[in-house]
Parts: sequence; structure tokens; C-alpha cells
Amino acid sequence: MTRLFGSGKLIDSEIHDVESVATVYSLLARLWICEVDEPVLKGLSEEPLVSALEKVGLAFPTDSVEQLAIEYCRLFIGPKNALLPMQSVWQKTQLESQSASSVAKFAGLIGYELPAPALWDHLGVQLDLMSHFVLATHSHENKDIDRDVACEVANSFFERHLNWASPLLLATSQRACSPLYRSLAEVTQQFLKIERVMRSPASL
Amino acid sequence: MSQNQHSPSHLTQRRRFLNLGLATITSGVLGIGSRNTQANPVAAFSPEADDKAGGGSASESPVPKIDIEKWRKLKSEPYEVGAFGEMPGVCNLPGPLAKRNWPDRNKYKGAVKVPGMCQLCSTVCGMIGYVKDGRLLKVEGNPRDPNSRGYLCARGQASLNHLYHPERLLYPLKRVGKRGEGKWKRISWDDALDEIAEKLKAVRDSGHPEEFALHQGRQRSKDALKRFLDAFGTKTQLSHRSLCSGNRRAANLTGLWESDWDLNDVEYSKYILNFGSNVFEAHQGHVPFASRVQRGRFENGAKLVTFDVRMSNTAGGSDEWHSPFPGTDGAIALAMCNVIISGGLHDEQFIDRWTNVSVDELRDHLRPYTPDWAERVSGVPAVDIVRIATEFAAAAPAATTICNRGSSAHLNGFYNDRAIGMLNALVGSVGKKGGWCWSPWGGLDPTVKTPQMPPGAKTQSVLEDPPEYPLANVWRRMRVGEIVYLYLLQDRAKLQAYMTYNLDSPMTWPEESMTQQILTDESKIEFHICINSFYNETAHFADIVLPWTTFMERWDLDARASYNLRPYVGLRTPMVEPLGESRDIRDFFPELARRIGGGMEQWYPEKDVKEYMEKWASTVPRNPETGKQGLERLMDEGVWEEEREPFYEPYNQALSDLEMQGAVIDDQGRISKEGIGIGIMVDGSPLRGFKTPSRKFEIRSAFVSKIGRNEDCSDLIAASGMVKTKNRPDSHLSHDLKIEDMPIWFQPRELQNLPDDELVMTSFKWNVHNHGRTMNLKWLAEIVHSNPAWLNPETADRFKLKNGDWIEITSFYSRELEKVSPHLNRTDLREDSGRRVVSSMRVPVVLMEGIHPRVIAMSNSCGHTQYTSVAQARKQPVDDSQLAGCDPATYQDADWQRNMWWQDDSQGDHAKWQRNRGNGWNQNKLIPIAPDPVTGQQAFHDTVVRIRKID
Repeated sequence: MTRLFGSGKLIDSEIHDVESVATVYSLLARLWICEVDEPVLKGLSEEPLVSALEKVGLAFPTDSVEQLAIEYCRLFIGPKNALLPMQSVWQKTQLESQSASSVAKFAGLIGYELPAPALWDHLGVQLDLMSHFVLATHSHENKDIDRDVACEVANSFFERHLNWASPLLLATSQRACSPLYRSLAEVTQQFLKIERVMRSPASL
Repeated sequence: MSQNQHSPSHLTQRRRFLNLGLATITSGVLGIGSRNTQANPVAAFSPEADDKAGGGSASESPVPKIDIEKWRKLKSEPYEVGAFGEMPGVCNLPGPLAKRNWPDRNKYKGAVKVPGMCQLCSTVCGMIGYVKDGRLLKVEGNPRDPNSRGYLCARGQASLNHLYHPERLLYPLKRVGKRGEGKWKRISWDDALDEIAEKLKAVRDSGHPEEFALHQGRQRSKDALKRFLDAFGTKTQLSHRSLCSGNRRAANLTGLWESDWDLNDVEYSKYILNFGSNVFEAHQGHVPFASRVQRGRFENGAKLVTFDVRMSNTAGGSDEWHSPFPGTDGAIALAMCNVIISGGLHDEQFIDRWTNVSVDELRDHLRPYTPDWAERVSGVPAVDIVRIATEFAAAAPAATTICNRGSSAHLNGFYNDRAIGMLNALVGSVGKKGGWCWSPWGGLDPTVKTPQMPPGAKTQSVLEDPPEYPLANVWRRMRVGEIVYLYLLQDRAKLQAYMTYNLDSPMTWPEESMTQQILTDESKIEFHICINSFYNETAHFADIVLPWTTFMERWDLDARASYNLRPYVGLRTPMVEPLGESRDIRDFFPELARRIGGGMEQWYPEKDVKEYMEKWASTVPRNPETGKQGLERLMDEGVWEEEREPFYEPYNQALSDLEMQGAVIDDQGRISKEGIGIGIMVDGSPLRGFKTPSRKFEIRSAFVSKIGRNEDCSDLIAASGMVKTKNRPDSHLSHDLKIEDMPIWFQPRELQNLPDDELVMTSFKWNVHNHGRTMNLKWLAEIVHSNPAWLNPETADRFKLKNGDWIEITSFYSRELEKVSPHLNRTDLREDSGRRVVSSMRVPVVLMEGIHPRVIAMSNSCGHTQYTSVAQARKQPVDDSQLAGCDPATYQDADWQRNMWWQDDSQGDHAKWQRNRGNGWNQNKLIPIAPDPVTGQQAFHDTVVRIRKID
């Protein structure tokens, strides 16, 4: 029996899936949104996480926090030739295009506030927000109609804001020197691909 | 969800991810806080996260609920990512596809108009931003702006590129490799400010606060910079003024004292005589000035005559263009003065009454400067000089000269501009409607008062006040920016801390390689903080880079000397929230001051920037129509212009009885009170006069001669009433220089009898760029991105060159400066056949008739090595080491791939180079440090070069 996020309920299979999927979104969000720090590095190195990570292909970081911070900066911040993980950059070649406004509007649906150092359409923010939408599909358990709406929101968000990242993820996996960020891009790609299939009309 | 349709491998993979989710939950690595509805994933992973999130109590992390009503409303709004048409953006070029969906009728529906002021050049035109959902959709000119009148040039229109550029600096960065290596990591603002404060405290504790220098490029937050530096206790504020307008300002100050900026009243002129200014493209007055020139021509019938070595867009759009030999503008002007005096075309009354020389003195002085002599030195036919002088005098007083860097950026530029200014005095157009005017308001209306400033710092540094340049700092602190790195090289000064602000010195300063050398050298510059919006060639050599807001995200009160000849106040206001963690100095200087402490913090009593702005703007009067005043009024209108008469003929203003109470009149009719000049008696009436020692327009200046010799000028300063003017300090003693009291002309040694195999290099600027800060903007870079050297076909024939050939240019240090400025001591430059070589560079040539045959021209703005991929004209990184693990055949980098059609793929093979490809060449590799010995103005247009064809 695993205690879940605040629900305190025992796992049943459906909630199990929802919570797990949401948590994967959260984990990926954490790795995308900012540099790895010591607590996260430690957490990634311990069981049961280390084995689970290995199975999906996410390489355990062997670099120091400092080296990973330099690599993160080079890849995703710059100051030059960076692969900025923002939807606006990849779709409109600018910062803060309408995709940023759109994410902000979605965030307003659940009172989500922008994490301080990021822009709204940063992939990390989008993954984190998606984890909330996934969880929200089970926060309306007493009303089927509301639950359908929650699913609609989650699917709409995914379609609009997590369907763009393939070029970024490909470029990251090619350009990254660190195994962590190379595999993070690959794993994110795989996970989004699975989610895309799961959220396709044929799967619903 | 059904999984029945999915393959076994898909399901297996999904199962692995579900297990990962479970394992992650079990591990607790993410922390409970990540499921808070006020989630902040960064905070959730901080060491304090558990405490903030309730110590891991699951019951405090409610599962998020969707606001269904809000969703229904949102869903009904017609927005779709990917289907909203082409929005303004860095790589979204106007084109068939963009136009198909343009304009979007609903695009501006519900947008809020927010006032602001452009800062993509020095002209600071009023803007209005259209803001919707926190995004700036477009900008346009503010029609209320009295100077720009609603016009906004191409640069201003590209503001959106600037704001939303994907390569903007968004976070503080700390260097982790060697300086200049380009390795960085992100740090927090707290860490950045702590480190900077610790260093600055150490500088102050060392007893040498002057070893902290702030080096600014274009800046419009004068109060904020001065407040910080004075509060810290350093006077070492370095600028680029001597690279821009030092000679013109000094020439104006010599005649006027109260203003360094002539405001030619071209809108009402009948004759505009332009010496080398590219008014339509590059003048500091830009669109406000250019639009008035055209109104003067097309609504007032003015004739525009331009002298320029190159057929600029201004020259091409003039009624007449003449191409003189470089640096001979002053000779032509003196010859015109000769024609006017000898022909009796002068305004005798103005000369007698309002200048400090007589017609006879002028006749004697001008005698050698005949039109024939001017033809010999300039190449402009004497007959044209006579004709133009005659036309100019006939049009007076609605006649004015214009000059700028074309005449002033020479080793004889101070004298060029004095001679040009004298033309206006001779025909009596000084201060007249349609004539050569000025105003005492170089910036904000004096009605607005900056909140109390700290007392001025009293330190001394040769970097800020080099003793060899007498006129650099006596009236205004113009400084001699181009010697900063040379003096550091020569160990005449050192810097413990160096803060650069909107500066791109490797691009815009002469001798790029030496600039880079000094910026790299940690023994010369121990600690370098760079404040900028983009990672430019200066940031590349910093230790800490602070991300600066754009001018659409910050506050200022701003104004320029207005061509309406009356002061105004404009507002720069945040149109949108700063992106990322970018911050303005107004925002973080107070925080930095508090960390440095030691009393600095007392000069920042306001709780935030808004409160400071409210204080600053509090005297802006109430608008009777709206009832708004102060900052609220400026937020509404963007600008306020005081109702007062234009500043015509201020010297003719009568002094009041009150002003005359207790006044003393000396034997020359000069009026003073308590020893300070206030006016002059003219025909028995007390008038204001000019604010010079003689109270007249000073064609002859005793002051410049005396100050050159380090003589005491206290009496002259007192008589002028301009009591902020200073004698040279003791540190200048023994650095005497002969400065002529009258406008004269001389030719620098290297330009006399120029050998056939040598050319004079000149530089120029385009109408879509400023010097170093716009090539990153896609809309502008697409228009101009390259700068082959211009050559006259006659010259090309001599060198057996044809269009598109490549040449190697070799530049030489100035022989004139070797003689007159031995302190520059350029023994660091390689010697070759008796000449000091600055550098060599290979460029293609473009042939055109519109350039003097002895001149080779290159534009500036080009040749960036940093400053975004756009400025470098690169689709993807050039550094292969960054592509580790990638397959080049499949490598995709979509952000810059589109539309960068001008990338140069020749890889240095000149035979493969295609015209109009690449990002050009930085001309400042070739240009030597060359300060005019009088003022320190950089002589950008006097460089002697040799060229050879590359086979």
C-alpha cells in the first residue's frame, strides 16, 4: 500500500495509473525546469527510483551538481546557441508568443502560479501543469460530467502545449554532453509519445 | 482509458513509466509540496520545501480542481495555438503567408495602449504599446511626443524583436571557465548581488574607490547611474561621448557656453547647408530632425546642399551633393566665410552687436582662406563654393548649417565645426527662426526635479579625466572614452571592479583586438560585471552577467533637446512585466546599495521604483481636461510639453528691473551681480545676451586658448554666468596645448600629399541600425547585414579591381598623433617601413561612383562575433564541440533554420562567397585609437590604409 498525494487512499488500479502518470510528469518537469541540486541528485541515486529510472532509460547522473549546472546552462539557458525549452521559441522563434498566454490561461483554471524563474510556455512548466491536470481528472469523482470536463481540459492542454517538443527533444539528445540530459530528452520523448497515443481519440 | 488497441511493447513501456511514477512517489524525491495547487516545482525541491509545504503532511496537499465555469468561458474564446496567424516575432518575416492572415481583425480588440519611449537609438521617440494578455502586440509612435510627433523609424518598429528575442538574457550568469571562454552557469540574483557587493565593499575599503568604474554605452537613466556612483564614492564614469559628438559639442560650447547641441530650425529654413551629416539615416536627431528637414524643403522651399565624401542617402536626397577630400569641411566653410565677408554679404549689425569680433578682424583672419585655396585642399570647385556661400547668405536669417560626425570625427574636427558654426554668425542666423538655434534644455524640462541626489564623488582617475585633453571635461564631462583600454594597457590606471552597462566596446570602440585583450586580462580588470539585455561582445568577457530589462519593461523620465525649442518630459514605462529574471538598475541598484552599506543605502529611501517615479514626476502639472497630474498624467499621455515660446533669439531678451537690482555694468557693457554675469547693455538696454564671458557669440575664444595653457579662467567663467564650468584641475598641470582662439583649419600630417597607393578610410551608419545594438534584430538584419568596402571605379581601375573582388586592407596609426600626442606612445603597434600598423582585414569591394576616389568606406554595425545568431547570420551553432553525440546529417535546430537566407556558407573561400551573404566585418579592427588632441573626439574618418587585391 502506497500512500498517495494527500488522498490517503489505498491504491486501486485506476487511481494508481493516474497518480503514477501525474508523478512522471512531475519528475520530468523538475528535471527540465531548473538545474539539479543535491537533494534531487541524492533521490535519483537511491532505490526504488534508481532501478525504475534505469528501466525507462534515464541515465543516473555521474557528474557533480556543478557540472550539471554548467551543462544545463549551456543547453537550455545559453547565453548563446541554447536550445531554449519554450514552445514560443520553437513554434514562433520568439519568447512569449500566444502559446505563453495560452498556458497562463490554462494555469488559471486550477490557480497554478508560475514558478519564479521560468516563462509560461517552458516545457518544464507545461509538464508540471499537465501533472496537475492529470490529477484533476480524479478530483471530481462524484460528478461524471465534471470529470469529463477535467479530461477535456487535460487533453486540450496536452494537444496544445505538449505536442510541440519533438524538435527540441531531438536536438537536446544530439547536443547534450551529459548522459542525464541526453537521456532526459529521450525519455521525455518516449513518455510524451505514449501519452499522445493514450490521449488519442481512438484510445478514449 | 482503453489500452486494448496498443501493442505489447507500447504497453510494456507504459508500465515502466507507471512504475517510475510509483517509485518516484515512494522515494519522496519530489516532495509533497509539488501537488499543492499553488505549486512551485522549484520551491518544492529547495531544502526548505518540506517546511513550506507543511512538512510532508499529505493532508495539506489538496488535489487540484478545475474551475469548470472558467474553462467553459475560456473555451468559447477563439484562440488556437498554431492557428492564430503570423504574430510579430523574430523570425516571422512579412511574406505571402504572413500577409494572408494579416491584419487579424481581432488582434487588437481589448488591447490596452501603454506609453513608452524607444531606446534603440539615442533619439528616444515617444511610443505607444498595444498590450493584450500581458503581451506587447505592436508599437507605434506617440503623436503627443513634441519632438518625434508620432513618427517611429524602422528601428523603433523592430522593438518587438528586441523584447521577444529568443536569445535574450533572462537570468544572472556567473563565469565558470576562463574569462572569455564562454562557459557559464545560472546563479540567483541573491548570489549575484552578494558577490558584487562583497567586491565593491573591498574596493571601497582599499581606499581607492576610483578603481570601480562604470562604463556605459547608450544610457537614458542618468539619475540612477549617478546616484549609485556618487553614493558609492567614485567619479569614474566612462562614456562613449568622445566616440560620438565630442568635437561638435565643444565647438558649440566655444561659441555659446550654455548649450553643446545646435538645434537647426530646418522646418522654417530656406537654405540648409549640410557638412557631412547623414541626416536622413544617422544623425542623433533621427526621425524628428529628418522629418523637419523634409518639411522645410517641401513645405517651405528650402534648398538642401550636402558635402560628404560618400553619397549617403542624405546626399542622394539633397538638391546638391559635393564630395570633398576627407576632413576639409572646415576649409570649405572658412572659404565661404571669406566669400561672405569679402562680398559684403554678411549681417553687419549681428556681427557688431552679437559677436565678439569686428568685420575688419574677420576680414583679416579670413583673407588666406580663399575659394581657390579651398578648392586645392578639398577638390570642391571654387565657383561652387562662391555660389553656395552667396545663396546661403541670401537666404539668411532663415539659413542654417548642419554638421555632425562627418565633419567632427577628424583630428581637426574641433576646428572644422567651429568654422562651420561661424558661417551662421556671419549671416546673422544664430538663434533666428529658420536659422541655427539651440536650447538650454538638453533633456528633461527643469520643472521636474530628481529626488534628492547624493553629493558628487570627489575621486580622480586618468580614465575619466585624462589630463592631456583640455576641452574634454571643462564645460561638460565628455571624457575621452577611446583611451580607456590603452591607458589600462599602459598601466596608467587599473580597475578593481568594472561595471559595463549597455556597452559593446569590442564592436564600437577602435582597435577591437586591444579592447578584447584588456577585457580578458584579469590583472588590468580584476572583476567585470556586465549589465545587458543580450550576450554581446562585452558580456563575453564578463565575470558576472546581469540580465537587463528592455526599454519596454522599465521606468524612466526621458527627453531630448527638442526641435520645438522648448523642453518636455516623456515617460518610459513598463509596457509588460520583465521577462524571466531580467531587472532594471532602478530595481536592483537599491538592493545592491543596501548590501554594500556604509551609508549608500540612505540614498534609496523609496519602497519601490514606482514611488521614486511618483516623486520625480510630481511637479508635472494637472491637465485641466482630465484632472490628472504628475505620474498619473504621464501614464495617461506619455509626455508633457510646457507651454512656452520657442527659444528664438534668447540673447535679445530684456532683463527685468528685478534682475537689474544691484547689478553692476563694466566698461564693456557687461552686466553682473555679485560677480556673476547676467547680461549686456545693448543700445542702452539691458539684455540677456549670450552666456559667454563676452555675453556675445564668441567667434574668438580667449577661454579655449587659456584653458589649453592651464591658465586660470575664473574671471571668464564668472562673467559667463555658467558657474558650473571649471578650470582644469591640478592634475592637468604640465599638459599644456596650444588651442587657437579663432576658427582655423589644418590638415593632419598623414593626409597631406597622400601617396597614390594610400586611401582614407571612412565609416558610416545605416538608417536601420545603430552602431552596435541592432544587428541582432531580425527585421533589421535582413535589410542590412553586410558591409563590403565601397570604392570608386576610378580607384578600382588603379588597383586593377572589379566589383566583388576581395582585398586586404592594412591600416596605419596616425603620424599627426605620433607628433602631437606622444603620450599615446604606440610602441605596442608593429612597425613596418616606418609606419605603425594597426591591423589588416580581408573584405570584398563594391564599386560605385558615389564616393570620393581617395576614400574607401565601410559601414559600422556589422561583424558581430557574439550578440545572437541573427547578428552572426548563423542558422545553427558554429562550434562543433557543442554537437557532441549528434549526427550532423540529421541534426535539426529549428529555431534559426527558417529564413536565415543570408548565412554565408563559403567557409572563408572567397571564390565561393556570394554577395549580400554573411554578417559583414567589424571595421573597428582597422581603426586606430585617434583622439583629437583638443577634445579627445575619436577621429573615425582619418585612417590611412593601403589595399591589395587577393588573388
